[in-house]
Amino acid sequence: MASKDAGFLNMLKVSFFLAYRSIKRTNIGTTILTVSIISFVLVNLIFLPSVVNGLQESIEEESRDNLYGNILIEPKEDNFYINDVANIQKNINRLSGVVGTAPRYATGATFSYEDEFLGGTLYSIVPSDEVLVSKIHEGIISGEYLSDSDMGEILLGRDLAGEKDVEEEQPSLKGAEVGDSITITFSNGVIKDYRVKGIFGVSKMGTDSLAFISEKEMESVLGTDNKASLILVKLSSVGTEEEFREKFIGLGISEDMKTWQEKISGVIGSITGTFNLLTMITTVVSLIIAIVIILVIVYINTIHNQRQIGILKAIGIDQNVIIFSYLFQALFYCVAGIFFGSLLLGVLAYVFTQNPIAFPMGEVSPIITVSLIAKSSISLLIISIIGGFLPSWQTARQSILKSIWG
Amino acid sequence: MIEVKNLTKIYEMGTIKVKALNGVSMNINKGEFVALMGFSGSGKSTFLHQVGLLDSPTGGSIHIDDVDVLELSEKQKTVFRLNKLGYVFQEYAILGELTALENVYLPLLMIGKSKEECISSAKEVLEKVGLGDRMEHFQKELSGGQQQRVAIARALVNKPKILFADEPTANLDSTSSIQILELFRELNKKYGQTIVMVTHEDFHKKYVDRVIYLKDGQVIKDEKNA
Repeated sequence: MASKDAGFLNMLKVSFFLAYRSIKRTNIGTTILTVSIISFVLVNLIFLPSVVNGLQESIEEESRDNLYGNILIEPKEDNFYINDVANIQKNINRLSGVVGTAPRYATGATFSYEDEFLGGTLYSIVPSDEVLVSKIHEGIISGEYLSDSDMGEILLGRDLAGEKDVEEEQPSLKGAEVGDSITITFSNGVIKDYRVKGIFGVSKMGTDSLAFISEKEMESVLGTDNKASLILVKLSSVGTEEEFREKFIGLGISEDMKTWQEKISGVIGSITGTFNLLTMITTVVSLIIAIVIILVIVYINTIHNQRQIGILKAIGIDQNVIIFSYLFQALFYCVAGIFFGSLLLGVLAYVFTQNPIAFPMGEVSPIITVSLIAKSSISLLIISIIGGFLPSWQTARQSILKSIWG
Repeated sequence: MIEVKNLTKIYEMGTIKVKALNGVSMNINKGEFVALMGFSGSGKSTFLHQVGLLDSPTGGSIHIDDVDVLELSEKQKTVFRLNKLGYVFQEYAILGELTALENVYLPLLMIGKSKEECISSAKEVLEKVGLGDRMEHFQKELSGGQQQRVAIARALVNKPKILFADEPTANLDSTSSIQILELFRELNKKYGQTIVMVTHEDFHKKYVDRVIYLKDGQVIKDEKNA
């Protein structure tokens, strides 16, 4: 057994010796070309999935940070509103691990500014609560954020405010600015003018089309005392949503509660489903390209060295030594390709983090994970083993005389 | 040392069968320097390939050192070639990616010797064939004669029982040819190296102990030099 192992190790040693000498003395241009191609294949394998990761991460962050919190409490079926909001907030806020709660009250409204009329939803917020839960206050691009006591003032999302003389995909107020007056017609028929206090821009995934007034203001118009359409709950750590939902039920909260994952599963599912299909096609094509390249390189190499292979066999070099030497060469090109491809990906990730890719739903930076690199690298290594093995095995098993003299 | 009985080799070319060897029998003794001669197509190279385990005959038997070599598996034949046989081909069959020294120590590496042992033995053999000053040179930096000397050094480095040479001087000029033949002669006389050489040059006869003539795949004459 020990002698068998020693024999195998010696076989690997001789294979490595032949592979190393071959790589060392091969044309540098060929080496650079081969390694470059494999690097680009790696980039091709990883880049699109990393953009999908980035897109998914953006949607998830946006959902947690601005739209739903970690857990979204909504009225029970058949109810329009959550009642006794202050008590629910008080109970939840007492729990360790809860960062804050923010109630929002939604009502249908018509916004009008100069000649523009727009139907939509107007939300009331408690600005001091909202600061704990969402990042809207961090996204003020002009003017100021609301305060709890603000009356007659409104906060507009960038997409809702719009821009003058610019064709936009979504309906907007075509250039409402801070200090301008917006007329709002409420669902109960009340018409009231509001001064634009601030304009925010946090994301293109829906939040920037919203408009907010203070809870106090909404109460004065609709009489919404201690009621909310939804309550956003922010937790200190992602992944604990289920655990806290159970705790909320334990506190006697009987409203409908959904985690952010449940809220976005449909959107994420359809977006990632489409991208995953594209990614799968790209991956398969890339891997086919990789295996063909490695096969062709090793095949040309073995054909070119067919006579040498015959000589090696004639002087008593084991067929497996020859096969392993080509395998080592293929693995070398592959590992070097993975190394330089990873460097290239690092550069691309940096460039696209500085200059995110514009998607209809917002700007996205690719997220390159270790598992993504590992998966692609392993695929490439398997491919290179197959690509290195097949042609060398085919050539090495030919008869010695045929190898030497054709 | 080599005992060949009724060796046949038939090549099938479509429906035509060509008898390259037609019942060759002979014995070659230890320490002999034998030349196989004959016209082109006489079967001399085919015979060498069968006895050298580079090819498998259609029939007959070959015993080398009392081993029935035709009963060996492909893997065992490889090991047998590595340990007991050495080859010098007509073309300069050395590996272009390796230096002269690396070409020579490769078989030793395959046997499992340490790198130091390999280098030391390879240097010794290269010195012996007169290439002490060309060890680090690549194939393209060596003349035809020097390349053939590297091939001879590689064939000898494992101290083979038999050295097979298939027209080793065919691509060399007359000066280099004589140097190679004198080297063979010296190896045979000084170290008792058994050598079986295929050649068609008449003047080579004076370097060998025995000449075996083949024609149409059969031995037609077997004569010893005085």
